[in-house]
Amino acid sequence: MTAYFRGPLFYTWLFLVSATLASALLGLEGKAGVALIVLLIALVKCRVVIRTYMEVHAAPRWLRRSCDAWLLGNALMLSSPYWS
Amino acid sequence: MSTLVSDVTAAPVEAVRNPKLDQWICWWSIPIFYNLFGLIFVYLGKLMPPPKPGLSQAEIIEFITSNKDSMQTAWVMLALTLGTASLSSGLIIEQMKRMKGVSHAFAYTYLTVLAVAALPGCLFCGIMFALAAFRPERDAELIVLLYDMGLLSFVGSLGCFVTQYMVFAFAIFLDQRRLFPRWLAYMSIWGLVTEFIAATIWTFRSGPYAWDGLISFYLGTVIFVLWEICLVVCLYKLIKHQPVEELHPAYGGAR
Amino acid sequence: MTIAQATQIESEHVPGDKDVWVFVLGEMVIFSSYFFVYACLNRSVNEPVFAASRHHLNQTLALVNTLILLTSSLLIALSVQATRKRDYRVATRFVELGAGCGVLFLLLKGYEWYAKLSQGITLGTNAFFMHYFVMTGVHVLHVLIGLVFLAILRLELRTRAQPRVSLMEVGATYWHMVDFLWFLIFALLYLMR
Repeated sequence: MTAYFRGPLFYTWLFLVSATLASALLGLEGKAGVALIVLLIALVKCRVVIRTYMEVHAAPRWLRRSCDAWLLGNALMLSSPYWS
Repeated sequence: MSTLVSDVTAAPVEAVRNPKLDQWICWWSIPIFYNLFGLIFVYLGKLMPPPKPGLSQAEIIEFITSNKDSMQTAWVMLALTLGTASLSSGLIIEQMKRMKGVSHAFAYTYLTVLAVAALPGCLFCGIMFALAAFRPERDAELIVLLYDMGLLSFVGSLGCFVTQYMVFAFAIFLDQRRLFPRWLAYMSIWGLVTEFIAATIWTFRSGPYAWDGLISFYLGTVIFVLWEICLVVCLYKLIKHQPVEELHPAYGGAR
Repeated sequence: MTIAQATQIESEHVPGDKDVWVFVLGEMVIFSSYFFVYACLNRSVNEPVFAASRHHLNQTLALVNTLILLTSSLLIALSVQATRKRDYRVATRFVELGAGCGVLFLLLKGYEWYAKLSQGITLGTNAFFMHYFVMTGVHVLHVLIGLVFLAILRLELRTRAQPRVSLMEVGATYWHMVDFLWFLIFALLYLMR
């Protein structure tokens, strides 16, 4: 069973944990521009889960494009309050 | 006696009339009912989209008195035509009973739950507004009560629909014949979730989670309309491709 | 070893089936509408209320919950990998652990809500908490639905001689969606100011 923890899926997990901790530390800061970085990290985490865990990297183009379109749409929508 | 039996089974009944006529009648009742529903609730009743929850007593009275006549027509029409909805239930149950590997228990649950659902689903609202429209001389506070009761019950969460969506999804997933497509089962889960979210309308008088809210009303309605359209299309295909032998034994099938 | 080799995907392949992706893409769009009403509607009016209310949130608990959920995603992804390798007992164990993480998430979330309610903070307290309870509430509902999917995966692994990889992928796809939607909720409610 431990052999499973030596593949790319585990390293993905390490990345996700680090990214989560980093964004949590940034979130505690509370400065204005930081919010956009936190959002970016969250969206990158989503993409990593979609591409790696959900195996969309090997999916047909329509599926890859749809997922990326959703991520982009959310990036624009959720960052829009911060555009001054 | 044996000649009588062989007469019944030997006669080619397809030549006499469309063997699926009964199912087509049921199928057509669906767009007819929903067009009536639109006329009643949107155009005449003025309840879709709903007026605001936060209106003052004077504004509510004004809303009802200015629409009194169309509302009276709307609710009489609803009272007379609501039963049409049961034809679609009958059709869906008939198709659900064709599923393989699924007991009829789910079909009967669907039937029971939709029989119940007509009341909180729209009739209760209709009666409340009919009362308000036909008895305008009543105490203003009572009219406001009818307004709240009508719209809270209409837009609010209804467990009967949660059950309907749930058994429909279960039946589709378990059906070995895959009569209904799996994606319709998943869409039913969307509908199920919207019923839970609708609970928020009891708390909020404004905003996206009020009874006229972007999420509670508009998103919920869009999801429901989409589901209904997909259901109607699936039913059409099911009736069309249903082998005649599966129908009544008179057409040569075993039942 | 590339990701493709590790997960043994040969060529273009829809994970699970198209039906579950209709479901998942639809859910993603629906959740975006909740994000929209939180982040974009009445923004200028809401901002002071949101800023003040955010202090009441237990960020540490939410952080722990995020880590729990992303760990559960790893475990479920590993269960699919194990199923492909026909390592069914290991796959079952991964599903059980993943589901266990899901249950832990629900328990911590329940505790978080209880803490709010005992402080007198409810759904109707203010606009921020309206969004907080609705978004986390709908997400909890999806975790529960996800646990039903995982239960079905476990049943598949335990009762079939040849558990279907495609079914495992269907359940895993939904579970991962539940996980990544939480990333955005965590960022929006707890971290972004």
